[in-house]
Amino acid sequence: MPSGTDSEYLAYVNGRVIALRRTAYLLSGSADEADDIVQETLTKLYARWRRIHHVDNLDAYVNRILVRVFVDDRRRGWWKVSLLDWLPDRAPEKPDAPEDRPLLRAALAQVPPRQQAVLVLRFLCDLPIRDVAEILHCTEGTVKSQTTHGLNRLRKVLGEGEPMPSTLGWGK
Amino acid sequence: MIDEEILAPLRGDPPGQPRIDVPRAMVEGLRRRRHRQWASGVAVAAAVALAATGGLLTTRLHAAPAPVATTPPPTSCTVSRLPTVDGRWTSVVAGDPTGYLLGAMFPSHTQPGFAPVIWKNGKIVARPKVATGTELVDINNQGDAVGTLDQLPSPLSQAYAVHDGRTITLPGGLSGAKGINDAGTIVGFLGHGGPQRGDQKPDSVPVRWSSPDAAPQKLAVPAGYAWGEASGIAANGTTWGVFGRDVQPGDPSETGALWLPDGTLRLLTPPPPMAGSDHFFVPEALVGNWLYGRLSVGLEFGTLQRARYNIAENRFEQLPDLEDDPGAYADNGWTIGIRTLHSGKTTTQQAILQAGPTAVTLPGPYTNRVSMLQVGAISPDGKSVAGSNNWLIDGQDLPVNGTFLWTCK
Repeated sequence: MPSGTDSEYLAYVNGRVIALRRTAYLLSGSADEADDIVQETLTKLYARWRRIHHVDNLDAYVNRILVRVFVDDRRRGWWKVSLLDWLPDRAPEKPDAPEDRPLLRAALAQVPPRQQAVLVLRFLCDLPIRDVAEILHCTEGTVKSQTTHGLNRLRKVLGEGEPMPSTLGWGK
Repeated sequence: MIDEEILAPLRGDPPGQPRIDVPRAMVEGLRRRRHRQWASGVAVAAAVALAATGGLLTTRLHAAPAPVATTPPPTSCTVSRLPTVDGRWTSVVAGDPTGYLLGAMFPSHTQPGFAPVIWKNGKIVARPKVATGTELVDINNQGDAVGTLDQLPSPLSQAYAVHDGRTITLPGGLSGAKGINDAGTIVGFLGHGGPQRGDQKPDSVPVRWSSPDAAPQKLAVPAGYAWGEASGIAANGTTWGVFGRDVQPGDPSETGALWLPDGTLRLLTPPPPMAGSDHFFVPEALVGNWLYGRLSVGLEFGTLQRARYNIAENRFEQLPDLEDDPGAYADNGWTIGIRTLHSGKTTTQQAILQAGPTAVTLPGPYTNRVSMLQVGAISPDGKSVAGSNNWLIDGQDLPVNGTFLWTCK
């Protein structure tokens, strides 16, 4: 558990900046934006560094800040994005080829920001549901339902057919 | 397609070298410890009056940003430097309408914490002696200032006032002071404070001190809330602050609050939002009937959207976003903030006077790099702004550094 000194902050940050940047990149899809997200996250962390003695899982706490920075940034402009602004004339069949990566990223951007975060943390960062719940400070049930809603939205945007029912029997 | 693999094409590490500046994060993080930072979000619902008569009030939401002032914007501004102690970086924390400015001098190897500085009419008039770790946050027309000592590693929180040249411990034990009006009434909390402190489970009650020597008076609190803070007070006694419940995962737990001069408590809950349901209104400043503040997703994480609440009409309006604005407003609704300009690989920050819909760029000097530019106070007529800039390159001060007073006409 950290005790609040600058040297401990530096030791913590230097050991985790690469991982934080990767998470921010997976969330945002942009290396530049990832750097901005991590910069803001480290700034917020330092602003609180002296006062986080009670935090048992500092990594989850820092990831929560990071996700919050990402979600807040997305919320500023997300609802302004019109689905019709980017939809191609015909939905792609399978976005699993490298050249479809931008399309998949654009589709993910059409998912509400918090659901985006859930999908990325679960399926790109490979975190178990309980870890995602701790990061997002919500229940595991909320993580599961947000996953379902996010995937349904993503599948709809990609034109992949009927959405999944909201049964929560799957997951790690 | 298996759902778990639908995003697989997006796997991978970010290209290129990181541009993350850890020392800058520390400097900016330290600066933010100096200034009130509220989280903002978007949640607009009906305001609830908890007066003896009870009942719910309906509210109207004006979701579209509305013009906030009709005074013509200034056409020219000049900049001058305020004196500092030995040329050391001193940020502007707050100001009072008569011209007092409260500043915070950056720590040095001989001064471990921020040291307060008070200017009046362009001159340093006081350097209050406070314990290391004390942060003064508000000042009135007598030059009296208030703030809080957060002393670590023990969870000590102590409210202080600076009055007649003396630093006075406010009665009540564990406490924090967040605002003072011209009558010398101080507002804050007893206890550990809200969740933005981060180190304790939130527990506090909002209080007023009628003077630095008076016993604290508890303000009305609604049932079901674990903590509350009073954060500002106007000349007529109107007080504002925030309440919070015990934090439940996924449950919006905070709400803005307003105590009218007659003691009536209103919980300020904006109408249904454009996005999200976990937002609340954090009040910051009262101008006429308008209580300016932010819509927040949680006190712990920072602001998102400026907004204001009309006390007489019981309605909210969203306001255009500003970058790094301190929540300071002139009588005409003008406010201040920072604008960041990107041009290729060059980044420049400028101080902005937001005169209604018009953003007036305050004159430099500016550098072509992100710096510690901040603005902290605006005069009642909106024509004077105070702030500072500081950037160390390889340990060397830049000529752009200093504490500034902008004067516009």
